[in-house]
Amino acid sequence: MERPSSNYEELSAYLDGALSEAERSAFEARLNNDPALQGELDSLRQTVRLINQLPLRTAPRDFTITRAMLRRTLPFHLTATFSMLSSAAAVFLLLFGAYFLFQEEAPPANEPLFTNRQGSVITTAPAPVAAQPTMAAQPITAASPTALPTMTAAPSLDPFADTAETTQQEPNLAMESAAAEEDLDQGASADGQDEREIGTTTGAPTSVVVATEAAQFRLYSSTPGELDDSTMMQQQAPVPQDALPAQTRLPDLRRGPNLLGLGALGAAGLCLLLALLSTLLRRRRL
Amino acid sequence: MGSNEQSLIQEALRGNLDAFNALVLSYQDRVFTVTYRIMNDEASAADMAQDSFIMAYRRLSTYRGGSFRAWLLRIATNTCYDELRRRKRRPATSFEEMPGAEQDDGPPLPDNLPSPEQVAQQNELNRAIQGCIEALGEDQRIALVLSDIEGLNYQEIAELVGTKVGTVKSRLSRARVQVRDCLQTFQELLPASYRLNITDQKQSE
Repeated sequence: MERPSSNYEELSAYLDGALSEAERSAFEARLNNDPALQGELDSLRQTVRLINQLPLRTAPRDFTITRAMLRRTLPFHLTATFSMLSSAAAVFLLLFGAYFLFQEEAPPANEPLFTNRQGSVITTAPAPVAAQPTMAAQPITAASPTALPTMTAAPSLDPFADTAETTQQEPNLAMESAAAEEDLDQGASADGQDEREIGTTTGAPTSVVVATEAAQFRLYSSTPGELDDSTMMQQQAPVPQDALPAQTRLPDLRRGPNLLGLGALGAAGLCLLLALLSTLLRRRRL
Repeated sequence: MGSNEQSLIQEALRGNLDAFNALVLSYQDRVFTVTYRIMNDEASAADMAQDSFIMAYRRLSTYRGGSFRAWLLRIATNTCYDELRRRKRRPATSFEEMPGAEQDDGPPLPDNLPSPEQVAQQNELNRAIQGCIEALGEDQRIALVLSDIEGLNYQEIAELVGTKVGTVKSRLSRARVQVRDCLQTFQELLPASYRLNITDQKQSE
């Protein structure tokens, strides 16, 4: 008859003297009235005795330890060296990625850049605004919204106007630019008004930028009013490509600086994770 | 614990490797016996025993007094546990082919002890018992070895393996029943009284 496991637990505990006084008394009373239970107890007792009499095994060799044994013999990926190398790589990649990710992007070549603190207007505009005669604006079609006309500044623009005045004049400049461009009217299609608006929109920035740049130049200048037309022409002349800052002469690299930076940051995260895993596994192994 | 052992432990804590090795020599047979009963092959048992002593030296600062033997056995048991789980295997080696099984023959006997035939039979029985222990699951096997070979009580075993006393009771009782049932296949090797009891049990069922 298969006895429930709880009976075997009780039998085993009785053999080990692990029953309380009350439990032992109750169990012994049952033993006296149950020969089968007594037989189970006897067989288990003999089993334990047989196990007890198994001999003590002799060590096949001395297990004394040496200093060499105490040195960590870990695989390379679990060593402190690996963790340090991974961490160093992560720091390098982090700096590398941050450099490319947070570096200012160079604007397209045909648009004016910015005015540096020395007062030089860095621009790639094909023609200075003040020196060139009014150019005929190219007709704008709806199919080529990026075909911006080469706008000229309104002749009435005063490059030495105050910044506030320049700002206030922005809408006026736009209107004056639109009025001066007769060719826009010639190139008008059924959506002539739209084109004109487009022309207006695209014409104004150039004028405003030049005026703004001039104003900025005035602001940086230590002596207001010392500028003259010749100075402005020099400032507004196209800057040779060689004279451009280095960052503008790396068009290929800067095509995807964000991607490069992101990739480097991702690799940095991976290196950090490897370093952390290596450290945790090394400590667990030891 | 003897004062000599206590002084060796203190010396080992100060970095005296020779003092620790003196402890190793005192306990290596016992530790190897436990690792052998758990791992069931001599080579693995030797590796586990060596790793256990290395681990014990590194963690000697965690010894808080009490039974140094129990503290060592705890490390040895956990080392075997980790290895068994790493291997994820259940030993099914025939006890007759088990390497090192001849050590279960026991030490050489003096003249006034049983006859060679009785000695041979005893050795055969020991190998049979080891084979039945080998067939147990690792949790039951460890509980049985620590209790019935090493003589630890339920509380010590529970602390050593990191479980409850009730769990130890359950594992131990099941292990003993399984070994008993396993030994019935080796009736011819069992002592007469043992066979008698088992036979009577079967008849009453």
